[in-house]
Amino acid sequence: MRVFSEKDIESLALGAALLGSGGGGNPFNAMMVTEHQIHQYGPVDIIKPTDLADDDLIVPIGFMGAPLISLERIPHTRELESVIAAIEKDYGRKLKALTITEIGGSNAFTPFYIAGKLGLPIVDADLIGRAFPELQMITTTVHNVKPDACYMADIFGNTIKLNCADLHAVEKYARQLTVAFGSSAAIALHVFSGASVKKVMIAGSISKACAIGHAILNARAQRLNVVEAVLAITHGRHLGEGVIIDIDQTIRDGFLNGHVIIQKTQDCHWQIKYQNEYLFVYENAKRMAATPDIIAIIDKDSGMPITSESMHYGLRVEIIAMPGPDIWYTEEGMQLVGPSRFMESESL
Amino acid sequence: MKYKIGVDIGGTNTDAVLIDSNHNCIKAAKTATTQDISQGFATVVQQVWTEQEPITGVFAGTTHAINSILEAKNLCKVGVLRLAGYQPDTLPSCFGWPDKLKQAVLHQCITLDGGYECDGREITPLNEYATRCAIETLANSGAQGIAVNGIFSALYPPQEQRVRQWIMDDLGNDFPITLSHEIGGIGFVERENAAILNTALQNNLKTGFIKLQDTLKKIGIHSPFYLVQNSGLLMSVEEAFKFPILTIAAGPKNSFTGGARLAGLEHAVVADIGGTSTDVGMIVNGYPRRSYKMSKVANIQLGFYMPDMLSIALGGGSCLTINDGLIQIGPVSVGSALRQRSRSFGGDQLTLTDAAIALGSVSINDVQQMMDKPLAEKVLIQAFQRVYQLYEKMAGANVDLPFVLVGGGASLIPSQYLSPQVILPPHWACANAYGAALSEMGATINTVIKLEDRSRLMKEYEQQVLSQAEQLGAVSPRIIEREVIPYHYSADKIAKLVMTAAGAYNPS
Repeated sequence: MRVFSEKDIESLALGAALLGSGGGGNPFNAMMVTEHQIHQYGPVDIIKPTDLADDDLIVPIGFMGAPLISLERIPHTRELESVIAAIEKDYGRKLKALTITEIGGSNAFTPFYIAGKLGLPIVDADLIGRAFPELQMITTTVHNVKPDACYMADIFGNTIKLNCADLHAVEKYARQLTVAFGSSAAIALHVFSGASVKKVMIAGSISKACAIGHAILNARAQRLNVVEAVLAITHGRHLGEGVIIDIDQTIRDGFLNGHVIIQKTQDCHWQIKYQNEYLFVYENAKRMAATPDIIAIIDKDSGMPITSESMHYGLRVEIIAMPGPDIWYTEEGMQLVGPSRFMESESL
Repeated sequence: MKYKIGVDIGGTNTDAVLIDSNHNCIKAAKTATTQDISQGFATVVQQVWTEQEPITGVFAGTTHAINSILEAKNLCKVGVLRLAGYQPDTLPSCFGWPDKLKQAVLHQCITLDGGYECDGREITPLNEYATRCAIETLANSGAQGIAVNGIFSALYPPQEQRVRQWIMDDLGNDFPITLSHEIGGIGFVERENAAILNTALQNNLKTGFIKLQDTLKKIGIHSPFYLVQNSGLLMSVEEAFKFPILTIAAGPKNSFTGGARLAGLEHAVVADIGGTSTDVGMIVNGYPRRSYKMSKVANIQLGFYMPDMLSIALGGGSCLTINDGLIQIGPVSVGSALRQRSRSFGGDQLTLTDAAIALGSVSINDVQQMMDKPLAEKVLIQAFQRVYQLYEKMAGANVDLPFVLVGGGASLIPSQYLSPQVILPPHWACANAYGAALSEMGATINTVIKLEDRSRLMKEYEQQVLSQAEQLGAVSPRIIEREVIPYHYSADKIAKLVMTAAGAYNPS
């Protein structure tokens, strides 16, 4: 067990932003909320999946909806606490721990909003190992684990339980409910036993994100090359660098679709295509990286990862690709999140 | 011939220029910034102006507001009314601010019913009785101003506007008030930070701006007086009373535009080399390129557009440390005490200016050369290389862009580095005041439109904003900004529209 305190927040934010592959939302507000909650309720205990008993009750909690909403409608904690209360009531017992749905982006922080207040530890794991645009793109779909039930809540604590056949159905109906909730809702996609956590979750996500963030901060403090530090710790590869000269994006079906052109020289440019997350990188016409690799665009001056909604003309950036979690490179994983799944975006 | 006066009131120096209607720089003056900024202001204006020159306008950029914030001085206590009917308490007002500034500014925050969802539904309606009670509570307990911030007010302003009316009913028309939607976009925290700081600055800045205005009258200049905004456009003194926060980034903007124009360029990278630091920016089509990174002032996120800028702690006053031939320049600087602390002036500290004096690139009477020439040359080569690195970063792939050097420290760069591509323009020392003198008059429309009517509405608003700019004194204004931010989560496809028109100031 280790303790997550105020000094770990920036590392987690940087690591989570990098693992977000451009999606998952900017963790700026999430960082401040977490800092405030740690001031109020103290540091949070981080435990490993192997610390759990097989029959412990564990809930991955996060927000679903448009990342933009979190920039404006600052969270209460009532929406998250209501989800937990509804689950504890239905299951007739207390949770043993919380855990993370998606380590990439601002959802890396969601359980930290209430862990201290509820006195619960957080399991060092998540269901994606990065960020992906759709709700069913999580490890349980690959493992064919159906949701027992999903729970959602709004900022007033109104709670809805969804008994759906699978996560595709959850995606369909939860997306509509989220709009009714003001385009952002607290959601628990699964209620896990300790045994399921060990079986289906990606272990070590918090540690990994913090280690990446720590490497970035360390490199920055010692005036070392931030990109090299990131590549060393993630076993990633450097694809290119340049200046953003064109961004073409549209919102379709609630997703941010588009491409960005990064110019290196007159004759060399990079194109990155995305649907919330960066999915494909081309050098001129040649594909250089593709999902499920984690593609990141990093601001050259500050070493900050740049999310897809905050890209802008004139930024000087580096492009890197890092291997994603192993599960996404299996046959079932590639079907769910591999290049062919996003071919429509590729032909944009 | 008609003339304009541009003034830049910086932290160290106050500069002024007199320009004619062809934008020629006729006279320039520089003096040390005074504690009461109107004194230095009076000095430089009198140096560049005589009664023979009729004046169309006096335009000033000032660091008054930014310095108040950085020093947490002369600020008033602000009460905050949040309109957020679900009563969130996870992010208190002024969270993460420097303690000293927070203590100087924040009185109390009260969260009330109200706020909107992204699609325009009210989170809860306003509660008039509770709001009026909260206003009374803030005023009775010593709040000297009130900032109002509602969830999604940037898209839906009506609730904030009703609350302003209630505040004015109770506390009168002169009580400092800021509605967050009038100075910020999406981003609750950034918008609230800007609204609070704006309210805190209002009283003091009002006094300062009135003093500058009165100074001009005393000198005998009765033409309009304007302040330069962060965007580079002019703002009337009355507007500046309401929105002083919009003047905080005028300084670098003025240097960059002024530098490029002095060199006769529409596209350039400009370095403003001062006493303590060097700022490098890029001019595209005559305007500073904006930064899209979140702007920070005193470590506070404000969510404003600022000029895209790279800075290093290197300037004329930068201290030199030399060990076994290893030269370190800065980051510490003697700043405005150059003439007391620099070796060449009899002080105890070796500075970059000492190196320039030794090499003869700066000549000042009655000073001693305190370094040997080869060493001085090494120091200045290193200094130029560091400034040039910023050029390379800023220019990126545009390797042919000219590099213009301005600011009090620009002459430190040895002449051997100057070339058709690296330019020291005339009046380089007063580029910031020249930039202020060139500031344009503009009008901005900031509204929400329905996307189905987009093309019709855009045309209508274009006409509207152009004629507004013209009425304010802009000559043949053109649209300089047109931003449509679709709001895709709302049912009836709406978008935020920001449109600005501007032209040279020349009232008929």
